[in-house]
Amino acid sequence: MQPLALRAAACLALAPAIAGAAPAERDLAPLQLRLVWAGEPAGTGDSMDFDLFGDTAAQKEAASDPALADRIETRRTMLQSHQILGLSTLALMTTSAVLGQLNYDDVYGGGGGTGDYLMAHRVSTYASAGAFIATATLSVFAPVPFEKDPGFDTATAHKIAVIGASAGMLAQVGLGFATARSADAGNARNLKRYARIHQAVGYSTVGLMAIATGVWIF
Amino acid sequence: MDGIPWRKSALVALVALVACSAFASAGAEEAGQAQEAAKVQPARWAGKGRIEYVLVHKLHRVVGATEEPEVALVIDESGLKVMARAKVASFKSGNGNRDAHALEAIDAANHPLVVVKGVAPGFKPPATPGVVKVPLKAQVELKGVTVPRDIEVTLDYRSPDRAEATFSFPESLEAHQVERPSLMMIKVEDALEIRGKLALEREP
Repeated sequence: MQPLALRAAACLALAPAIAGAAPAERDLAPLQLRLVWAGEPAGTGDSMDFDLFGDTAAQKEAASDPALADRIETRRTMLQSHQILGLSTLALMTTSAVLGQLNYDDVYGGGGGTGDYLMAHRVSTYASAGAFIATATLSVFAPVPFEKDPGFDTATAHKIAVIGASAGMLAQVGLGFATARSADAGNARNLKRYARIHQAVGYSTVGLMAIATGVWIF
Repeated sequence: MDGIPWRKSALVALVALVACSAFASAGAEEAGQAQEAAKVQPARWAGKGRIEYVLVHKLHRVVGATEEPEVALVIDESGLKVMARAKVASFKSGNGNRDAHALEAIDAANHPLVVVKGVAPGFKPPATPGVVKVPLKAQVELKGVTVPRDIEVTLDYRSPDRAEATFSFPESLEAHQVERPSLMMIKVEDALEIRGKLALEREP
């Protein structure tokens, strides 16, 4: 297309020059040349209104699943609340551990046994337990809309750490009863031993809870 | 005597025009042959390969990939049309829980496919093997929301029937009305990178 156009244009341009001896009264009509770039044919649009896979509207409609969408929405709401409550639980448990240490120092570390931290520690532990149960409930009862690929992943590590933390919390309840019995019996030696175990289990539980939270970073 | 130069000039002009006409005619024939050779035969291509997304969080950099994309190209006189799609559930990031969350975030139940369409008007495949960059006017459909996007694809023509396509372009989650997932109460970045490598084959 282009060579033809150029050759024709050259001829038409040369003809009057070759015939330059012609008198003025024989003027040729003025030439008008128009170049067309062949790279972009006329009529080519950039419309995206095509489907190279040939799907019909009915096929596209059939691909969606509103019931599944509802379950997903429910799960998202529950797990977002789970996330907020989980972080709150970790904060409450850390507070309990700090107050517990202060209480331990007060009672067994030569602090005078004032009991200044006893109630605060008790309230914070009850709050931690309540938040922990609420957090776990949201997770356990959240619908599971998609099958997960089997294998060890962040969620598996989270669950293992949370199971450990749950065991720690249950152990604290058991230790509470045992410690109360020792206190009732006036057994100071056992009381201090249980308090130390309680302290160790408490720190371990907070540690496991921190791991359960922290694994999401990796 | 006055009339003679005029006739001479006319004769010269006539000879010149005849010569030009022959010249142009030969040119036309030659051009016709060249045009026939350059004419793009309509062809359909199919492809397979790997498409990845790179998602960034302050504490994380996640790469998810699918190796199950469907790709179709049509090259004809008008240029190139391409359509690629993949099931969103086929993207794996190495963490099943995260992938499940991703499906929730992009509403996979109602919009199970991510679809990219593009056109390159006037595109002609190269006559010899080589690398060409193809600017596509494209659109990306995710979560049922279509967003226009300019994408440059590098096509490495290995032979008239085989080529490799590579591409990379930024995409916005919020442009597709995707609520950005958060971790530790910190949302992931809005921009994610989409990249891929596809092996294309001309269909018989």
